[in-house]
Amino acid sequence: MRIIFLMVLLTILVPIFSYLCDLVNYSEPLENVAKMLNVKEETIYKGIFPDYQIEDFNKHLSGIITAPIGAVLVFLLIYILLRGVGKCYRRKS
Amino acid sequence: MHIPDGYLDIEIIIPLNIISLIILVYSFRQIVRKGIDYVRVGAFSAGIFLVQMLNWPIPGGTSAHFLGSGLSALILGPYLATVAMSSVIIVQALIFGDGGILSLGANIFNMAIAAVFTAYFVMKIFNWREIGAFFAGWFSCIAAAFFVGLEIGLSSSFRYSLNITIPVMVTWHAILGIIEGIITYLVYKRIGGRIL
Repeated sequence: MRIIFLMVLLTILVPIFSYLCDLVNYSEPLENVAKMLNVKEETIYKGIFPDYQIEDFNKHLSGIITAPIGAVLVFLLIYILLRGVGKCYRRKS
Repeated sequence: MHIPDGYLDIEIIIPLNIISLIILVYSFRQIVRKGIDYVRVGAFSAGIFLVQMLNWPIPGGTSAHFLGSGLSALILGPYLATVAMSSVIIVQALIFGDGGILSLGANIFNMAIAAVFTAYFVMKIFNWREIGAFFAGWFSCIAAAFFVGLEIGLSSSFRYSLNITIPVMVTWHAILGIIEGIITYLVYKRIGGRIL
C-alpha cells in the first residue's frame, strides 16, 4: 500500500517538476555539449510517446498519463523477465 | 545522460551493444537461480522509472534527474540492478524515445553496468557502512558521465573532442551527482540494505 501511495505521489509530482523545469530552461549536460559542438540528433525512432508526451495534450500534464504507463511497463518487463524466463531457465538446467 | 541516435559512430555502437548484451545475459544467469521477490523488484524498478521522470529545476541552464543506478546496486545487488536498470532504459527507449535505439547498448553500458558496478565497488570499499551510500551514488553518476563523455568524444560527429566532452560531462555530473549521492544515502538509510 505504501509503495502505491509513493508511486501516486511521484506521478503527481511529474507535471509540477516539468513546469518548474520549463521556467529555468532545463537542459542536461549532454545536450549542452552537443549544442557546443553543433551536433544534431538523428532520430530514427521517436517512440510511442516521444519525450514522455501525448500528442495534442498539455506537455506538462502528459506526464500524469505517461508516468504510470511507463511504470507499469517496467514492472511487467521485470516480472516477465524474472519469473517467465527464469522459470524456463531453471526447468532447462 | 541518455545518448540519442546520431551521436555515436557505428564502430562504437556495435561493440557496446555486444558487451552490454553479454553482461546482461551473465547478470541474468547470476540471479535466476536465486529466490527473487519479483513484485518488490518490479515495484522498485517502476519507482526508479518514475523518479527519473522528475527533472530537477535547477536555475542556470544545466540540470539533471536522479539516475538511480547507485541506489539500485545497493538495494538489489549489482546483477539484479543491472537487469532492473536495463529494463528501465529499454522501456524509456522503446516507448518514450528517450535515448536512441542504436545506442541502446551504450546507454545500458553507461547507466546499467558502469554506474551500477561502480556504486557496488565503492560501497564495498566503505564496507557497506551507511555513509558509503552517498559516495556510491555520487561516483555512479560520475562513472556514467565519464563513459558518455568518452563514447561521444571518440565519435566523429563530436570531432574527437575528448578534451571537451569528458571534462564537461564529468564536471557537471560531479556537481549534480552530489544530489544523487544525498538521495542515495537517505533512501539507503531508510530502506537499510539489499531487499534480496
